[in-house]
Parts: sequence; structure tokens; C-alpha cells
Amino acid sequence: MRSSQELKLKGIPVSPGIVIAPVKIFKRKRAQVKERILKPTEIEDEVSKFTKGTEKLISVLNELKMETKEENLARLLDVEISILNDTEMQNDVILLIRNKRRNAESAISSVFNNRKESLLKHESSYMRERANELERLGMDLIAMINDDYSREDFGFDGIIATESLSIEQALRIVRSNAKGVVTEVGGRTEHSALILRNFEVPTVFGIEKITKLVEDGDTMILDGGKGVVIINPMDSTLNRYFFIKSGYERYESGLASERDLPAITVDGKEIGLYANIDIPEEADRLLDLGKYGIGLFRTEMVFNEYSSDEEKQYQIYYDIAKKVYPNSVTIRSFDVGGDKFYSDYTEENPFLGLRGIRVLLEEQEVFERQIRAVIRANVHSNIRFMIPMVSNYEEVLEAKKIFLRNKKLLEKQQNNVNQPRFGVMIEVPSAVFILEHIAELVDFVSIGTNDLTQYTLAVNRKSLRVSKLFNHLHPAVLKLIQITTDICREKNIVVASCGEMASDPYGVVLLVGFGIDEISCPSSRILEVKSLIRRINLSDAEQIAAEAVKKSNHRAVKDLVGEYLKSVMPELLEFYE
Amino acid sequence: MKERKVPIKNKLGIHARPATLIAQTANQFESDVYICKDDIEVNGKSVLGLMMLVAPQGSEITIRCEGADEEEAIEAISKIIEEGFGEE
Repeated sequence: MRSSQELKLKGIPVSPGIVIAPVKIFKRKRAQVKERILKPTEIEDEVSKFTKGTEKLISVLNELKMETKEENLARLLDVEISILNDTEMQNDVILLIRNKRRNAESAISSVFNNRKESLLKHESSYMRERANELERLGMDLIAMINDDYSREDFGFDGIIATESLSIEQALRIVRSNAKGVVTEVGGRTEHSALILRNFEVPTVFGIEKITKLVEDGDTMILDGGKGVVIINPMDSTLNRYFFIKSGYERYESGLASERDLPAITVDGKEIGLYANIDIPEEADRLLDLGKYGIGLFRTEMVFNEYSSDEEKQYQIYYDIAKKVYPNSVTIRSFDVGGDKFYSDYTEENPFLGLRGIRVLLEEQEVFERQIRAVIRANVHSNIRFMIPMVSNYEEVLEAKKIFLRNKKLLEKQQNNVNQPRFGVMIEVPSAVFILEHIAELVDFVSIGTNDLTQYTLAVNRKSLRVSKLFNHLHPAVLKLIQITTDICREKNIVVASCGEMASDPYGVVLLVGFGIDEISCPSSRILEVKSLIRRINLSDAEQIAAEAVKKSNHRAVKDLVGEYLKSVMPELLEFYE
Repeated sequence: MKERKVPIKNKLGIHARPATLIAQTANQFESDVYICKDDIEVNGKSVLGLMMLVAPQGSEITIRCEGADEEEAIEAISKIIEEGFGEE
């Protein structure tokens, strides 16, 4: 029920920034379908509501498709356009309206549900997937006919409130005028979250029932850095937030003034600062922030579209390497689960199952295709190739063999083959404890703090019930990082870090203190991380890191580091939680 | 009338995107297009119809085209199916 009181709600901070704006509720998932029997005089109006709505939407979607440069989105739009164009579907719906006098929404719902039900009669998970896909498309169409999905939603320049957010919607939002996003469910590391963060749309996830608590046009305050949403703010609250907002904007422009300066500590250690990206387009944005390399190019989006197309992959990797030159790009091999290969395959516990390198070694053709594309793309010798999820020495050995074999094969076919540097992600505790052996096989490692935390603490960060136990400041996680950086220093290989910890100010102080060489974070955090590094004294950070691993819990670590942050960059704590 | 059997090569079979590709291609031709699998026959110009086929990887479907441009239609449709819709 809508609340008339000022209410401050705490959710998950996804993308920083403060917005004070009217809200619009974006209902899409499971719109309520009301069945109604039409009066005879209404029938032809209902038919035309359906046909006109369908036509209008086809043209809106076509327009969106022309505008987008994102191929994934273009293909999704293509599917929706074809469903709308399907004459069999249209005829079935019109027949139900004319003969059974059903309203358009319920007629559409019946047409899709009938098909869905007959698919569900087949037992295989293959057909169940088809059925779910059909249901989703049906709901899309109803939302479209209801006009919930019209172009105006994307021209709207306030805060969008929605139950959940698909990648497709996130991509639409970043191309729209929307100023902020709040959802009921979702996690920080979901792809839709990454997209919103990279395009700097202030966002808070996980505010229960938010779409029920507000109505279109209500004023909302959204603080993406703190994960806070305030509805029905009183005048005094509004004034306070206008004040904070202007402070935040001053703070941001302060960060921008250091744009062209290096990430170097007060006592002179330079840290390599890199960006994480998901889609090639994001590399363009990096240029506005100064010249940076890419410390983590996640290739799962590439996998979804081009896992069987070496040429297309080559083109993508080549373009990115050229764009960031003379800096480097670290391409992480496909980090996908077994379900992407075997449609009947489900893993009882996917995080402990067939995933990352384990899949790549089983699906060698796909792995080798990517390896060849990566090696061929290394024209400017600035590509690094990285293997995800290693837990055993043999896996790294095998992956390296395949990598070198393909390099040799390519050398027979073309001149000037440049071998990319070869590295692994450190994200499973067992890899840390055998790192001195793995180190013999690799040129660099990158600590993936999200998975390392998950596997060390046995906590699924997406779990509704236990995600609060997830914390990368846990002393056990810090000890593993310390062992990793110590071994890398001894073996003289580059040690980097990507993952949430590398953009969390507390994490940055500790990583620097442990002796990390490179930090890779979302592009939206680069300037903040740089400003912080420029205020840190390496010798202070080393001392703090050495203290931190002796603490009993993450709270004590946070207090310890917080004390230091307060003394070197107090303004940062104001806008980060 | 032209008829041809083709194997499904991509891992996920005829899901929404391949169905879209088949229907888009079929709609470029005047001829009627039917796709059959076991004892089910669907209209090749209908995305929803195509999604009803239980046609996973390794199965075989039959394309049937009837009309003035049946030759060209069957060629074009077989081609995209045989290429696995550009998917794994």
C-alpha cells in the first residue's frame, strides 16, 4: 500500500550518485491479466486496439533497433518484432476476440498459455525452457498492448522503479533519459547491475515492495552510493539532500581534476589502474576518463553470441586491443557453467560444479577457437589471456599446453605471431595454497575477490538469507590475499586484483598495503580509486594490512581501515558506505 | 511441391531466435512453408508455431514449400538451418 509518511529504505548500493526526481513504476513482469466478456458493440474496437497497438509497437521496436549499436539488444528486439508480426498469432487472438468476445489482453494470454501448456507436456528440461521463453514473450506482448512499454517510458527523465531488471531493460535504460533506477530484487554483481554502474545510472537494488509503496509522479530521493531510497521526503529532508547532492557534485568534479595524473602513492609507488568491462562499447567511455588499459574484459557476452565464430571474436579482441594501445587488455576466457553446453544438464550446486576452466577443458573446440582469436588479435603485443576458476595445478598445465599448441599451429599459418601473456584468476582458496607451483606456469595472476570471498566463507552472495555473511574484509580472505601477493613478489610475477574489493575504498587501502601491482575496477570508480591511491602512504598501508590480518572479524578490520580513510580522504566516506 | 530433410545442428535447437530467423526467411517468399517434425506440422512463417516443435540438437526436421518460388524458398531455409543459425 502506498505510504504517505516519509520512509527511508535501505537496499543494495549498485551504482553511486544522488538523484531527487519523480518516480515512474515500470510494471512488466507478470502484469495482471483481467478477463472480460465484451459487449457486442465493443468487439471491433477491441480488435483494433490489438492491431493498432501491435503495429505501433512494431514501429517503436524497429526504431529502437535502428538506434542501438548493441547487437545483443538488436537480436532480442528482432525476436519480439517477429512475434508481433506473426500472422498465426494475430489470427488466433482476433478469433478469440470476435468469437468468444474476450478482451485483447486475456485473448493474448490464452493464445500464449495454450502453447506453453502443450510444451510443458514434454518432460525434458529442453522443452521447459522453451515454455518459459514463450510465457515471457506473451507477457511482453500484453505489457506492450497495455502501453506499459511505450516509448515514453524511455523518454521519461525521472527514477524508474521496477520489480526486477533484465539485461535488455538495463541496456534500454542506459540509452534513455532515466536518471535513476530502483528495483525490488537483484544483486550487485548481476549483469544488469554492471551495465548500470558502467554507464553511471545511480541505482539501488533490493528495496522490497518499492513498486507498491509509491505511485507515478511521487518525489523520491535515491542515493546510489549508500543504497538508500527515501519516499515522500519532508521539506527538511529534501533540503538536506539538495545540499548533499551539490557536495557530491563538487566532490566528483574534484576527482575529475586528477584525471590526467598517475595513480601513485604519496611515497612514490605507482599502481597500475585498469578498468573492468563487459561489452566492447564500454572501452569508448574509458577515453573520457583519461587513458587506461582494461584489467578484466569479461567475455561471457561474446560467448553468448559468437562462441562458434573465431573471425568475429578476432575482430572484437583486435578492436579492443587497438583502442586501448599502448595500454594492455586482459581478456578473461569464457567463465560459464556447464548448463550453457548441455541443455539437459543442471548442477545441484553450480558454484561447485562444472564451471570456468572445468568447462573449457571439456569443450576444447570452443576454448581453442577463443585462444586462436586472442593470439591472432595480439598484433600490438598488448593482450593478456586469463583463465578463470582454477583450483588445480593440472588444469593450468593443460590449459597452457592447449594455449601453446595453438600458438605453434598459428605460427605455421602466418608470420609475426605474438604470444599473449598468460595468466590465471586466483579465486579458489586451493589455488592460493599451490600458487608457488602455478606461478611457474604463468606471467601474471589476478585475484578475483568476489569468488575468493564466496569460496572462502562458503557464502552465496546472492542468497537472500546468508548474503549478509559475505564480506571481503573478512580476515580469512585478507590472509589469502596476503599469501598470494607474497608469493607473487617472491616469484617476480605481476599480481593484479579485480572484483568488488578493488573499488571499495577499504579494500583499496588493504590491497595497496599487501603490495598489489595493479587494480582493475568498474570505469565509474576509476577516478575515485585514483584519488584515494594518491592520498595513501604505502608504508602506512603496509602497516594497516599487517594489522588487519590479525583481527578476529571484518568489523574490526573496517574500523581499523576507516580510521585511516578518515584521516586521508574524509570526503570519500561521506559518499560511500 | 518441394520437400527436404535437414538436421538440427545447434545445441539449443529451435528456440526463439532460430524460430525468428526461420520465420523471417520464410516470409520473404510467396510460397507456403511448412516445417514438420514427427507427426507435428507447423506454419514456417509463424514464430510461435515453430517454437512448438520438439527439435533438439541431432534431430531431423522436414521442410515443405509449395508455390511459385518454392525452389528458392527451400534453398534459403535449408541454408540457415544447416548453418546452425550461427549458433554453437
